[in-house]
Amino acid sequence: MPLLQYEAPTSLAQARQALAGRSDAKILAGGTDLLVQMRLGLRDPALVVDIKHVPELMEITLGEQGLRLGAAVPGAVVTDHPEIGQLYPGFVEALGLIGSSQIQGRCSAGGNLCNASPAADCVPALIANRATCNIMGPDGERTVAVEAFNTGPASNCLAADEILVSIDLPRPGPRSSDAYLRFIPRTEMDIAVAGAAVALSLDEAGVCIDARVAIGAVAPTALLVPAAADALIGGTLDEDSLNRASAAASEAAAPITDKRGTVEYRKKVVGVLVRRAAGVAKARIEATS
Amino acid sequence: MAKVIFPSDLQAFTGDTAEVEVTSVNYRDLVAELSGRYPALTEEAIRKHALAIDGMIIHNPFLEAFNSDSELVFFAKIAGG
Amino acid sequence: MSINIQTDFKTVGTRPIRPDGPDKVTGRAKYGADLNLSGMLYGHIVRSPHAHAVIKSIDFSAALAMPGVVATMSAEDLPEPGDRILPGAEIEMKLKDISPIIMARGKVLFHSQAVAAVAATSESLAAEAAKRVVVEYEVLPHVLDVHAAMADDAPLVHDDVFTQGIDPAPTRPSNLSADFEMAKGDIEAGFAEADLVIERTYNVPMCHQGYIEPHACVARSDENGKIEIWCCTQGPFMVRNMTAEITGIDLGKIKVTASEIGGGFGGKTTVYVEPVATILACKSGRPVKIVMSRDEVFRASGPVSSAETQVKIGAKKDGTLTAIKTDILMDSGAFSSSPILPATMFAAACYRCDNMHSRGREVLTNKPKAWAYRAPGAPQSIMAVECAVNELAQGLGIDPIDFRLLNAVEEGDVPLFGVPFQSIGLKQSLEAAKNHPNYQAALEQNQGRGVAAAFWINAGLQSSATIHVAEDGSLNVLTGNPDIGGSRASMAMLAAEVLGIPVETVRPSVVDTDSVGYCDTTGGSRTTLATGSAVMKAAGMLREELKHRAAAIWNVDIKEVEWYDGMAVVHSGIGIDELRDELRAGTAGRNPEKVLTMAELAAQAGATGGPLTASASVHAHSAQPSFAVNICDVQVDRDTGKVDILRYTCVQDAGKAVHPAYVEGQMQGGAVQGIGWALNEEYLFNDQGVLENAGFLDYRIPVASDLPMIDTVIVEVPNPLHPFGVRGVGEVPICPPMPAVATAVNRAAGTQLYDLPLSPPKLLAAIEGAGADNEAA
Repeated sequence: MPLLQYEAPTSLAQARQALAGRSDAKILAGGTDLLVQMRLGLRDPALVVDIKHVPELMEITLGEQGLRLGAAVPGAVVTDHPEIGQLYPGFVEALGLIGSSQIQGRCSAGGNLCNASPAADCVPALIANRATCNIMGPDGERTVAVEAFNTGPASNCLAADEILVSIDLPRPGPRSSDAYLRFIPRTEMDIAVAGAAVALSLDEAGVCIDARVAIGAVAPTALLVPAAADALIGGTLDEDSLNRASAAASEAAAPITDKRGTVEYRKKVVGVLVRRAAGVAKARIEATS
Repeated sequence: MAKVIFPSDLQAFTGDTAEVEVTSVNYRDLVAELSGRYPALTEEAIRKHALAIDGMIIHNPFLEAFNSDSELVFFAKIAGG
Repeated sequence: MSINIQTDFKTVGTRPIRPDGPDKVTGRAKYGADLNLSGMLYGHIVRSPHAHAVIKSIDFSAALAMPGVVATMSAEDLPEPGDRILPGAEIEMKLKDISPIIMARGKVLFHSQAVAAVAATSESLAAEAAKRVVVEYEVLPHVLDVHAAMADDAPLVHDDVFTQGIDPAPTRPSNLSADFEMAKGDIEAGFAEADLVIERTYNVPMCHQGYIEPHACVARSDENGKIEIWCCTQGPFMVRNMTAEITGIDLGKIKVTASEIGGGFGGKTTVYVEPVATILACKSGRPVKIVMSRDEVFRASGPVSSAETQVKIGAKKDGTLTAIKTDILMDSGAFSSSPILPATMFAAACYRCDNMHSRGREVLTNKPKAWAYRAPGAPQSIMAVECAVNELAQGLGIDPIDFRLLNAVEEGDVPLFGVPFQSIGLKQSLEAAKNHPNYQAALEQNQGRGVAAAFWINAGLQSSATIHVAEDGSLNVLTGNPDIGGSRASMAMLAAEVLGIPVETVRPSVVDTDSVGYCDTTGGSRTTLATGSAVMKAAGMLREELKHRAAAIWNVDIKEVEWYDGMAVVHSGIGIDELRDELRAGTAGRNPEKVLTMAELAAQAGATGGPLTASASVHAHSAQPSFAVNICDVQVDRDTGKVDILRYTCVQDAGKAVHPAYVEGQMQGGAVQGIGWALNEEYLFNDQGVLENAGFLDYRIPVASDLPMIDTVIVEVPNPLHPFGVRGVGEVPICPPMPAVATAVNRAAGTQLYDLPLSPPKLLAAIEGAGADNEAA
């Protein structure tokens, strides 16, 4: 019988040491993906490194610059936080969509990102918020934009001995907000057929001065769609700019047909979601200013 | 005389007769009477069916009696869920 | 045939706290996987990676070489089924159609069919050992689609299946296992009479019952060859019988104890793991536990037949139905086991119509063997007829409930299946639906309403019950029917009602096959009716015995003794009416010269003839049909094709609701399952016959937040054959939801989509198609 080795380092240095030279290791945060995959026989690591006891991975720092979110901070901690939801309501909503209440106590934004599912809910929301990843490896730290972190389904840019330590979300400017919407056939406990995150900044006249649009579940990785953002910037989220943004998102989408949806369906619906998410983000800005 | 109604699968053995009158007043005699009248209609084929006697469906009617004006309907045995 | 039906009840119709509640909500209840015995091994089943293949060889040597691997098995360990018919089964079943589901014999006929099994000292070791069992296959061409399976050159699933129901019988084997017709009147004349005829094809997908608890069991064999099996099942006696037949072990050596059960819905009316654990236990001499994974449950238990139904239905301008024709094609998977008979017989059982024709065909494919699901067969064909009825009513400009009221069957009508209806509650249910506020609720844009009515036959069958009186006068009521829908509550209530005692003093139990007389499986909506009748009979016998004991204590003639309100009372010196008045007023007090309570009689049992017990059995002939009517309102998102259920109303004739909360639960549960089947549930196979959504993530049963509160209305038209008027209630609730939902969705979306499930991609494509049609027009 193969044996499974388990390590629970209490510092980044120990974690790095545990992973050094191992190509057969997997990092365990909440385990809401990894343990399921192991049970299904999809992954068979010889070593599991539990990083929940490493302080940097469990910390939340909210300052002038924005949010630094430890990669293993559970979803429930973020969704219960009094301020994060005000600054990044779309991101918090996206994170809150993962699994059930029980799963929320374990799942994390970092885990959701590292698992590299094309349908991961919080990834488009991180991208829309210009989030960046702080990665620790044997040669020190490096920073990668979230949109460049994943390289394909179930694959990311981490080397075998690297750890995602935290994610930085810059503080949004005034009159800014975001929104994330996903389409599932049910109301919860499901995987996105398509997802869209929109982050907006409006001027006092309601003209969009900045926008980021990201889409999920419609390509091998979540995509930043600059053309959709460009369609929104300079307009007042009027019908015409929403139509163009929606069309740009549909155009950028490169989905597959599988048991959860068809190519045609996903391309169409992701456009619908971009339009609706932009509306939600706009309403949020208007409601708070 | 009691009236007997055959379902379509038994009609294959009765030369397409769907309805017949019988002198029997109990199931045992009924089986004998019917298999005597329709040689192709074996006891085994009959016993695969439940019998509805005046609207009461009886899964295993072995000892059942009925009246001379009863209506008897053979009924395919159905499994529930 | 009629009997006096009681209408004044003390306990029946109330809502006492359910006896199984505390154990279930605290987690104390023991389900199939919760039993562990010392020295227990874990069984793991090796399953076929192919949809159709010859098994050339099975090599266990590498698995057996692993330390801790104790026993193995394959079909070699089971007797040849030959042409044996399973004795004592409710319907005719051939052992050769059952045994290969336990272990494939010579060939595998569907992906994930059981091929071999191993037992080892841990679950993970057993799983690892199963991987090391080397099975050599010769892969055969497979067939998955029912139409492809009927082609002349289709691969044959079995070479000894000849179509049943065709005259003359075919000489060539085929995958068309049954093809039969039922008719009355002149169908063509009926259509000629019609002013409007609707003709359409409806598809219902293969689905799964979706019970939350997977199949699980522990089996133990002792040195005398005595076998004990603990398992989650709808029928411990069925498990005993099937295990005996499949393994060749004497039935008398097997004892089966049913655990608490986490859902069955028909899916646990057969065995999958019990014979495997039994053989492994016999071979190893140690207890063996097998728990199916969810993946195995989806792939290798009995899913539910898909159906393609063509309906042609005609009516006159005034709404009178003139002809109903149905043609149903069912996928039975790899063995003949589909519910094609009831689907064909009951498709239009709600309607009075002189001219009817129904054809049913069952087709075999290389998919898992289909099995029962609540009212087997009826939901699929009723879906088709009810949708067509709605379209017909709409085409004639008649309200769909009025249309049904005009054509609904009532007492004396003879349906296609020939058995005249006695007193039934379809019209009353339709009236209740029409009068419900939900039927008047205003609909907005993109919202739609669907109505459907439905029938189910209900079963009676055999049951036994035993009642013991404890020394304090409280009761144990023992039956052999696992409680899947509230039967313990109803057994206790029926005993309490007959004896006039508080239901809290009755302890209902489901006991093992050694401890009570034979009971047919919990299924067919039969337990409260049939097993309840055995309980009522035993309670009645006990009541007579108690009167005798009281007469002995008082030294009076039995004629002097009455049973009133849970007590024996004596006439002597006082009229019964007067005594009742005194009892009601409480002035009779506790005068043991006039009144003996259960507790007092029980305390003196030793002096009056020994312990108080009663056992009774029945072969219930009192089953009568149930009817249900559902109203569904939906909202459709025209941009995504998503459907939201806005309002849902279930009306059902329960005859007499023994415990109304449980009846409402059955109605709501059936609605939820039907909504799931209508909107999202379906088996998705790839072209190799491998199920692609073998888990609850992608096999989408509804979650709680998908649903509104499901409103219920219980109609009570008493069953004329039952002393309390009880009808079965468990199955008919799943019959009307699919057509109610499908009609509502199509009305809301302006579509004609009848290819279920109405999943968002399909519905959006239909909405866009309908829009394009409108623009073209």
